[in-house]
Amino acid sequence: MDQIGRSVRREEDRRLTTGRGRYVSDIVEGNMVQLAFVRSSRAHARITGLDFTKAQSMPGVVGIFGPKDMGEAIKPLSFGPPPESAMEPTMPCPLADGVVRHVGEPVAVVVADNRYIAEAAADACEVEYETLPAVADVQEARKNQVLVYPERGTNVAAVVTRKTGDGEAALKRAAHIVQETFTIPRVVGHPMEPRAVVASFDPVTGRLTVEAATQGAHTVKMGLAAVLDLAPEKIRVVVPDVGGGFGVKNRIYSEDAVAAWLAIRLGRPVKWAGDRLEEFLATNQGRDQVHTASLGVDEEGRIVALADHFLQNVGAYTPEPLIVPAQTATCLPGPYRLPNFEATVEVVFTHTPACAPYRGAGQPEATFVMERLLDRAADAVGIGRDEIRRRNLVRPEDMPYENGIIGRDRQPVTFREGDFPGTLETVVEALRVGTSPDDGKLRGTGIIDFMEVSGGVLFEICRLELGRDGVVSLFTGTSSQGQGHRTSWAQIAADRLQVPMDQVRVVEADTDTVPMGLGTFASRSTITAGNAIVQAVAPFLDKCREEVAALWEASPEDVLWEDGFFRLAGVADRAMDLRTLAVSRPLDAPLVEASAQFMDANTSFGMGCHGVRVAVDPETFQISIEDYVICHDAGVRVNPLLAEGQVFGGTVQGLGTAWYEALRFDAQGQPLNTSFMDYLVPGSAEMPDFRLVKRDFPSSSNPEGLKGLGEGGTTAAGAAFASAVEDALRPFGVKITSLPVTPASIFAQVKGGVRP
Amino acid sequence: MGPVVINGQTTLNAAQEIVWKVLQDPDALKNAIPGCDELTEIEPDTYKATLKLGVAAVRGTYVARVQVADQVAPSQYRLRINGSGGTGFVDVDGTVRLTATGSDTTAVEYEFDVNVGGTIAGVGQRMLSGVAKFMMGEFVKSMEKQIPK
Repeated sequence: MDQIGRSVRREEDRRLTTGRGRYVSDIVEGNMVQLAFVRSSRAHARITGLDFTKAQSMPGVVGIFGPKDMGEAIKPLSFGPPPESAMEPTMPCPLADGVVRHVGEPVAVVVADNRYIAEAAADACEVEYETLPAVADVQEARKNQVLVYPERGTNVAAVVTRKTGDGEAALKRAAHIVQETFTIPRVVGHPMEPRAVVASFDPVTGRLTVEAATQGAHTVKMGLAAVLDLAPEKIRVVVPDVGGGFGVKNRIYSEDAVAAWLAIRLGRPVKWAGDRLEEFLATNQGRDQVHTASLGVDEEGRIVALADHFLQNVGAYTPEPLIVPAQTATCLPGPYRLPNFEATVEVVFTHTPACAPYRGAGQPEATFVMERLLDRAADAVGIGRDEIRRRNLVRPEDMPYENGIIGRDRQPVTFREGDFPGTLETVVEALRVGTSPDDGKLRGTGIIDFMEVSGGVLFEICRLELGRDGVVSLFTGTSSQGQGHRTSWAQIAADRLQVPMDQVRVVEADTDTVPMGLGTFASRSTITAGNAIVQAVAPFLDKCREEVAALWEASPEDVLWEDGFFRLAGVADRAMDLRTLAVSRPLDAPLVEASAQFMDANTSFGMGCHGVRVAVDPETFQISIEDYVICHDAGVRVNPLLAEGQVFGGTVQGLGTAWYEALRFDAQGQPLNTSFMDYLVPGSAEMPDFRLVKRDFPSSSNPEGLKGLGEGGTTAAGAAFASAVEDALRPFGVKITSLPVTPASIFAQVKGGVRP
Repeated sequence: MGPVVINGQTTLNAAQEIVWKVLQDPDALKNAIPGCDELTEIEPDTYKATLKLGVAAVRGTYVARVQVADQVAPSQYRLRINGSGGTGFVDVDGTVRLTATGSDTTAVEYEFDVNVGGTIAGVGQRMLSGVAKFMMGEFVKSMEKQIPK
């Protein structure tokens, strides 16, 4: 039976929704101790003294450790794969080595019988700081008056450029030029489960076992091997259930290294389970760009050129230094025919937590800038906002369309399939604009296009193994943080093996089961692991055929595989399924297994369109969403139900950035709203019933036609929401150039004198 | 956003010389500083204090260095408080000015820059200005009570 394309309910759900998940916090080992970190209260300071005397004597405290105690392990963490050649990452040490560079940086660690005692003792540790000048704002930092790394002489860590055609110079040929400064604020990823890790060391085997809430098991393994100076084979990293990742759990963190080091040092299992405040202070954050961009169009609104100079606040450390700014620069042209383009980004250090990939990773920023400019250009030319898009989208007859930029797969960005104008029309037609109730509210619509870049990042391995009970175990290096991989990977394997889904057992993210894996990020897992699974099936069945041939004393060439059965050519009554094969084999025979590695050499591009209709109360500027239509080319949908969940979830997260979220810092680098009282995230009550219209075009970039779709929602929502609210507020002449769009931000403009 | 600035003025019913004396008396200070459990002189005009403070949901104990400097008796002095604890730090720096407005009345003017960091900044920022003003009010009220009649 075909399994790919079925909306199967998640295998994981019953367990996870009835409290039977096993997250790091649920793990209890005998003799286990727990950690709490002493974290910097300063954004920039020299640590001049650490006094643990009072804390050390508290009952239940096992030990307190500072950087000097960790000796050789105090060195910058290593990121591990994937390699980033354009710029060396600047990584923190497991505990700050003399200087702290953002509030929340770990300074010391308390080991105690439980977290309660550990936290109380951490509060009692005395840290002496020599406060140094700090800078948190990217434009301030660009002035180089306060330096994050004085030895560099500048806060500009790197400059990235992208150019096609005549670049910025072509602007002068445009009939209309619209220019604007756009700001996308710092946001926090906030997976439901904060980061967490349990490390245990077996002194007999000399092996370290780490269970971590991470997106990349092998990444953490390689990172630990480097910082602890251990042979990689001495480390096993296993990923239990994880409650959300969104990019921010995709690297080794200081706490992982400290927990592992302590497990070896103390010979006891060590747990650190971070809390929400630590998630605000010490986990990678996202966005934080300031753009000055110009779009030139001709008399009819056709794009002549796009030029953008922008700043990327990367924070104090750069675990993945250029991924986000480079992706923004690459994605700015969107799904449009754009003959001349130039973008320059300066990547700037500040005394804030690392700003790194977070769901969308540069794409929401690019989409916000380009789509806002198109809205402006439409107004300048005097045509509809949908019409300007119609006139500029890449058309089917243009494909394959190369926009002249080199993408993250080091290949020219090429749109090979799709009907972009058709997708736009679908959403234009579906969005309910009809008559409005006479309730005094202002209504507006926003319809924007976007591209979802997915995959194109190296490889995954899949290993299939036939168990004695006939269950096929599937091992791969990706990891699930709620995506339902155990269901969709089983669907893919079951489809090709022609067995029921429950005959496939998915084991992800255990470094002992596959030699290498990159993990789950960049909307790559379904593409990369999915193709690897399919490609492992043929060699696996070949091995099985040999086994069947041996049992039947036949030649493997005469054993056929049809409809889930091995058959002997020309002999009608000879048939055997995988279960029968498994139980028929001699007990001393080696396991039947086969592996395949799929190298995802080409990025897949899925085009989509979001249409939203909002109502704004002209008295309070309270915004409500009345309709939301999404069309998102997902290529081949392995499980349409889960695909829909990814699109809706991504859109909700994008609406968070659009509507509520911004982490604010004061001039001294103090984050000012580090709780959910002051940092709002979207809740179900304000979310609309999203309506999905489907137009899917299988990817021509990988054999199975798969595309990623985890990030398109966050990519599109900000631009769509801003466009709709601005449209509704035309009577007030409000211009939306920054996110989030809040009643307060609108009020600030109206109060400034643009009342109708 | 810069430091929170707390300023204000009040009139105390006592002669300027008396107000000056009370404002610098360690015992009076200890009684008047909200949450102050302990105040010991560690060197002339410099004290070590233990403060128990709560801002929003963040309650903590702070060990503070309180310094009185640049005295121009009986009309002006600078007060610096650098407190730190497990939930962050509070740095206060400002000037207090006394002006005789009558034989038995003295105007007290104050202006302080308050910088906070750590958890109290991140969780309590919204409340900070209000809390600081409230505490200043408590301080003044308490000082008034301690003026010898």
